[in-house]
Amino acid sequence: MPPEARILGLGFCLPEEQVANEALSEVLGLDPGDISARCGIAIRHRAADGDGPSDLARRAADAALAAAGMSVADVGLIVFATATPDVTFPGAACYLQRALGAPTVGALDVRAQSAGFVCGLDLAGQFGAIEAPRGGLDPRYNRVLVAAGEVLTSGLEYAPRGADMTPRFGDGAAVAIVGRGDSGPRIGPVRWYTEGELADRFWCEFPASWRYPLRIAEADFAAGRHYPRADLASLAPIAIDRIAAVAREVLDLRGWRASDLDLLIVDYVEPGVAAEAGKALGIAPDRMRIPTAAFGHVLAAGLPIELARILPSLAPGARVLLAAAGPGFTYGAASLEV
Amino acid sequence: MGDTTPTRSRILAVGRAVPDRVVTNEDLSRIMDTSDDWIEQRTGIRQRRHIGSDCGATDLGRVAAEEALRGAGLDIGAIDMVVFATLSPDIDWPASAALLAAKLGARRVPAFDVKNQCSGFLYSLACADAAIRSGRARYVLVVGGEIHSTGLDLTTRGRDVGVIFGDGAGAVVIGPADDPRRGILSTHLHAEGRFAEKLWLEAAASRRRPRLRPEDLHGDAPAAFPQMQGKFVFRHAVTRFPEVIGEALEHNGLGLADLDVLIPHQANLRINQMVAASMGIDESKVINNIDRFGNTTAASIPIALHEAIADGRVGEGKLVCLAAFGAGFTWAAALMRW
Repeated sequence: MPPEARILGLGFCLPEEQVANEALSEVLGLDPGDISARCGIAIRHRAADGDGPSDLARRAADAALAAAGMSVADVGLIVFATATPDVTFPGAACYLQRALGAPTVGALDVRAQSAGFVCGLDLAGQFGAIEAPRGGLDPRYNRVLVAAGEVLTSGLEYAPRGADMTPRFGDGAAVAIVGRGDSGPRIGPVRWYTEGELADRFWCEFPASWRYPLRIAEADFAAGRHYPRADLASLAPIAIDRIAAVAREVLDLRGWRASDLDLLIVDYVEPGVAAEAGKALGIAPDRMRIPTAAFGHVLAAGLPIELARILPSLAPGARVLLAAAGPGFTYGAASLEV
Repeated sequence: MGDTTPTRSRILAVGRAVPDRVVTNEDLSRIMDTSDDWIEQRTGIRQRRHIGSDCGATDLGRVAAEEALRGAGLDIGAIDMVVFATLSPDIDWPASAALLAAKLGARRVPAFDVKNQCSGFLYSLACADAAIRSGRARYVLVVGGEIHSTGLDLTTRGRDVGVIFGDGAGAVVIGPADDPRRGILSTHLHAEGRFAEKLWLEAAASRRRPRLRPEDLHGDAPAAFPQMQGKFVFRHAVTRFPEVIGEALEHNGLGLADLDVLIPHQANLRINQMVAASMGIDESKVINNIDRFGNTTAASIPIALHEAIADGRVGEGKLVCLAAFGAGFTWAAALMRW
């Protein structure tokens, strides 16, 4: 078994600008009340022009490193989960490394959509368990910086055709410093899965390298194929089932029952669906938090942002379960003991 | 997942796939102002493969993966994790790994993309190695695949970059090393984000509003096509390659004299020749096939490895170093006893 890793420091960044439904209603051709009735979201945050996920993550990383009492020079690997990198390549991890002035350690960019943070915790735990050639744990991976960040609002359609998708998303980032130590939430088993046959039910299709001879052309812009699209009605029952299933699997692995949980954080693009998943697990609403309801869906970053917001109020020993589902169709869960 | 945690992982089998359509330097000289001599002298490339109709990186990846699975004697159901390295994903999101998993019939596995450009295959290999060493997975499928040709500016304006890249995919199945003398000895990951814009593809760029627009296909240096400062990249490559190869050997208490085979990323034959010369590695130990495939980025190392196994240069007992340098900058090495 890999040695136990902890979150040694956690930070988040929600950009200053908040966008209320009133600010979107005219351009989307909807009443503010309609937006909130359709998507269950009242506000989302929007990054400033020029700020990518690495800029938001940099602010989150400063807080996370301070909380861990560490300097960036202590970080042995940067993992960045995002579906909306600053530029197409290189990845956001390289930009974050530059912004932090980090040493020339690895900067791994991963894409696992809404399960991105869970995937990042999983990877940090795996690297942390590598043995050195002469025995003992490989000291290079004592401290792994796991970032999750998205700037989605620069890729949405601000016109009536975008009415169903555009209000659902927001921007933000969070950073966790993962390693072995004496304090900080202990990370339990992590599980996550992808069911790729559902990929085209929730996706942003273009640019699409498969398309010959050019991966994006004028006609694709006109058709809006470079904006997110989803068939959320057909995904809702699947999301509830998969979130509940992976949450139960992680609870079983940890030896906890759902009734043992002090807090369940469930992230899904539709807050109502997240609430249903919590209900399926038998968790009362007062023990549950839904990131999307608070600041829109931020794909990889919703779970850790919400965790960072609530962590200071949790008592030592509190049992927390993180669960998320999203495009891919990818879903996962991780358990934490504060 | 096994009952015992292996100390090492091993590449069990390799597969590859390239499009049928051969594009020679002569072919390119008919659509842009270039020549066979100019391209060959600077890069060593004589031809590359380009798709000639709709075809995604995961379509090639599927063929390569099926060959690797056959070689390993494994059914897709045995695979615990799918990692896809690409900078030219089939679609914008979700991850192409999700699409690949579905095409292969993997119903429910962790599947994620790694976006680390020319080092993407080695970053992915490091993730697979960590997953197996930590006991999180027993068999991992790692595929590097690129369809560059649909995102290249194949005119005189884009010739510095356009002539270099080719389409292709390579796959490996990684599993536990039952023989303690064999397997991946260590992996080494590095990045230096401060040179991100020396070799990059800006748009789609989430940090910009909107992140992608029709004008990105036009202008003097179109943002939707990759841009490179070739000489700058070359200079850093010939420094970082020897550094990381030396680091991998030293980490394991080995020296250059122990090295049997070096498989460098195929970015430029002149880089690889200079690296071999400066390190005093006999060119017969260095695998190069860029003359026939161009730079296939995340696919180049597994494609070259496939050839080196087929012609007997890589075989049981050989000490093999895989090394890469490219956009990010990112660079990496993996040392293994075959």
